[in-house]
Amino acid sequence: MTNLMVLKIAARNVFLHRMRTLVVGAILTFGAFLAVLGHSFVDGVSGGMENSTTQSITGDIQIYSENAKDKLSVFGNMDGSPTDVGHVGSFQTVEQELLKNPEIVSVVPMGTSFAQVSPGNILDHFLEKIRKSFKDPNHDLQDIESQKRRIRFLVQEIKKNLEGKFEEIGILSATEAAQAKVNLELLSRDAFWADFNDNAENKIEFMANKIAPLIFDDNMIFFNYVGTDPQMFKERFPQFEIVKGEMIPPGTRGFLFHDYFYENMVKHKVARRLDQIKKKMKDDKLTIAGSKEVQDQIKANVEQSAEVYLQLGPAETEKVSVKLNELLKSDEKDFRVLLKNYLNMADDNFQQRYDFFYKEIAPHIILYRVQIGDVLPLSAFTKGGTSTAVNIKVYGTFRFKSFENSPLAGNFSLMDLVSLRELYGFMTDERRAQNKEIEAEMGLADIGQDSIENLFAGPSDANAKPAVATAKNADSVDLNFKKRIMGSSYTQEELRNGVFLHAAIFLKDQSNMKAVIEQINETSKQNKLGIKAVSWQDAAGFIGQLTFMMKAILNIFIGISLMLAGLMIMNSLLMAAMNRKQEIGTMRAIGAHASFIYRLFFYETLFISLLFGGIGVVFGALVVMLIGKVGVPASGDVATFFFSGPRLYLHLNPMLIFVVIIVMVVIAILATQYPAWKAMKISPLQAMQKRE
Amino acid sequence: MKKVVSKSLFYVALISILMSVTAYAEDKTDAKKDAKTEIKPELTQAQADEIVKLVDDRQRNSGDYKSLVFVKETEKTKEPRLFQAMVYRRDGDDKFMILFTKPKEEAGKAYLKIDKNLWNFDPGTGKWERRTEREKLAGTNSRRSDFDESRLTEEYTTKYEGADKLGAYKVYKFKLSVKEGIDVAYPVLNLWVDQADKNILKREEYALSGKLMRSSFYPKWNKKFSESKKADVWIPEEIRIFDQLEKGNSTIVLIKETDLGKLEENMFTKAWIESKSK
Repeated sequence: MTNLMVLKIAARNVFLHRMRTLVVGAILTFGAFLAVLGHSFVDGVSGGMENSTTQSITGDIQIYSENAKDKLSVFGNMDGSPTDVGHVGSFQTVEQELLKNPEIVSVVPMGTSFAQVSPGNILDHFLEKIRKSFKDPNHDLQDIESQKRRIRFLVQEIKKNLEGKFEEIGILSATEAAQAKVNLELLSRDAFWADFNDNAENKIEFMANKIAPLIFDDNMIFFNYVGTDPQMFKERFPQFEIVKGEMIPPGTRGFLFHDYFYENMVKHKVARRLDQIKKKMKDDKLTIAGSKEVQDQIKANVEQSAEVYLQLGPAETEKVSVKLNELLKSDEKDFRVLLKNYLNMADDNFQQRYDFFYKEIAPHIILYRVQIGDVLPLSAFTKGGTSTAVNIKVYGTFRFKSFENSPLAGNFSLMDLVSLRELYGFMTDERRAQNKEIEAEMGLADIGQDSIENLFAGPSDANAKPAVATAKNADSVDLNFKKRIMGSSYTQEELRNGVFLHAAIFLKDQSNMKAVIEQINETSKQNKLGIKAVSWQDAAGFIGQLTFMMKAILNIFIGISLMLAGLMIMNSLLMAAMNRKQEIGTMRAIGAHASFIYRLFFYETLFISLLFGGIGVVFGALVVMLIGKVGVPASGDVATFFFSGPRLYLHLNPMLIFVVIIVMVVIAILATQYPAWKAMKISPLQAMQKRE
Repeated sequence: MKKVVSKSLFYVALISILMSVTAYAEDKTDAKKDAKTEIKPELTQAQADEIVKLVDDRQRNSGDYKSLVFVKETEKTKEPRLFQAMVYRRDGDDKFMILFTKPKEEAGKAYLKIDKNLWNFDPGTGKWERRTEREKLAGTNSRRSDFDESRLTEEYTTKYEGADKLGAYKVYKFKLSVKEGIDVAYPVLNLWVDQADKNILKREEYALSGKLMRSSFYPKWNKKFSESKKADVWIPEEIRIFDQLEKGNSTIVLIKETDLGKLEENMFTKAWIESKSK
């Protein structure tokens, strides 16, 4: 019999058992739809993540020391700790060898670690300012008086704040709390301020040591940074752009905050919350009345109104007070109450009050705890736990276009590699030579713990007291130091000759990544470079594994639904075979071969699979194309990273359609086998017996 | 982050070491009493408590103190780092200062502790950073006790573990366990105290889990008469610390020169430290 006839009979069977066909078809449609849409979505996210990661930090491939203690994960471990990857000797040597590979476009040296800045609290800030003014021989007395009034006002505010709350500070014992009260009382007397100018240094130190610690102080800023060649970084990461300030000039030491970090961590708390609320209202269409999350932020601003009033001086307080009463149409005399009333915003007045904040309040407060142009003493712990600090100028902030709001892409601030080396505690030749001198002065040999008891050999008579020398006087050290001016520039040679922790490699064609990784590892072995190469996914650590996990979960879902469909097809075919025993027996009796029966069943299944699978594929493809046009909005900052932008636009991969259709055929083949085998075993005799 | 900060923080360790073990004042009357009632290797609980109290008492030094200190920090697989610093204390006012003198990059940098404030000065920027106790210790495994004078008797209960020998020296071995409700860096200590001089020769510090964190050895002691105390002060000349978590990491502290005379009145101030860097 011809295939056409078999097809006709199969189609007849499909329509004859409509209910069964519809149930099986629905499952197949769903499976195919999920496969197309899900894979397109995961591919979209995967591509977005790849873009976010490779275009912000990793490049296509990362290299690091082959002797590294940990596996490289540029985003750190799950607990936030940086991975210990050691370092590689000379960047120049490695770069020269690697650039011989025609597939490699460039190598960007890097080192990622974390550091901290401690700008001090508001009183620290004003005390340092007045201290500086007093040190200036040409200081302006009027300015000093104004600063004194400012500090006195602030101290009064602190006193008011702490009234009856000393115990709540937590860190003060009863005695310390009593002393703090006495100190605050002392400062509220005119006598303290009357002779301030004659004894300024002592009075300022008194306040710095006794009063400033009374302010709740969480001003320490911790951040991750990548040390690199800033010019090369900018060139190789094309989405890099300066937002505030300027780019670090070539050959100059400098620091750039990531703008996301600067806006979310360095900015004044109240201001940053207002910005966040505005963004949520605009982008996510949230309302204050309808969102608990936004209400909590409003509440936090009201509770932390001290962050604003402690920063305003007496004149500013008066000025803002008048404006606030005008805005609120009130006549509130207590500025604290007035400010709280103002910060307690609602949907209908938010925008007006937001604008007011930036126009009338922000100019009088410290809007950013670190200003662009500041020279920071930036401290960090070296690999061995040693604390080091470098002084580094903040030139500005940067971001990566299209995922500027991504906290993960915004994870790293940026500094030059030479400063990173210093912060990381690498030894310079000069330091090495000085080490030798100090060691000679010490005159002590290294002794391992195993032989440490030799140091206690002591006198031969064990009962004798150890010989005790009289300590030498400590007066021989010259204590006049020349201020070490931190080098503000470096040569390209200096940058390239030194060590690096890891490096980003950019390829001509990313699809050659695997082959190039092998080639780099081979080159390293041959030339003893001491490096190993990993893909960007591996270098991104747990973040790089997320797409793999998402794909695995999606495929499990698709697999389950298709397996279910396959089983149902098999079951229904089996039932059909049993119900159609006579028909099949008769066919066999009139000469139909077993292969005809097999084809009959196979075509029936193929028909269902292709028809409904096809519907699923078409439906899925339409949805993908629709999303490809309108995009899925990134509902949060994390989603921005995964989507590599504010919206995710899906793309239809023709290969995916082809694969889904092949899978449908495979399901048809698999599901046919057992029922067809059973049907083929039906003999004409069985059909006739049944009839009798 | 945890991983890095949990390692021995050099400055924290240095301050801790220098604040807690620099001066052991031996009161002459105590010495005479000891000589008369020589303590035998078998100690009663009262005698054990008395010895540990003696160790504590000797560390309370009300006078001024100045010393020249060398530190060598050795890390496995890394080159050692060496520093020279002047250490100043005024225990009566709870003031403490480290002024780094060598190498050049560190010269002029200083730590100044007044009350609970630990000030950090960098002559490069001329800026001061005030770190409150809370901040300073945030994320590290250091505690307030690291920065205070020895309070072994107040914070720990002593258990005498018998006489022992450390090299040629006869020592008493004590196990100290933290008292309930007291927060200390290391809840269990083992001390080896020289039977003759009552100086600590070895100290082991254990974590709550019972893991040995740090072993310190005090092989050399110097003696200096203090006018303010009218007594001898014992100063460990050499301290060798072995990190037991990161095997191979060690620190040597050498207190080379000491002066117990009165220091300038205005020394523990920002102005004084700033004046040293021009």
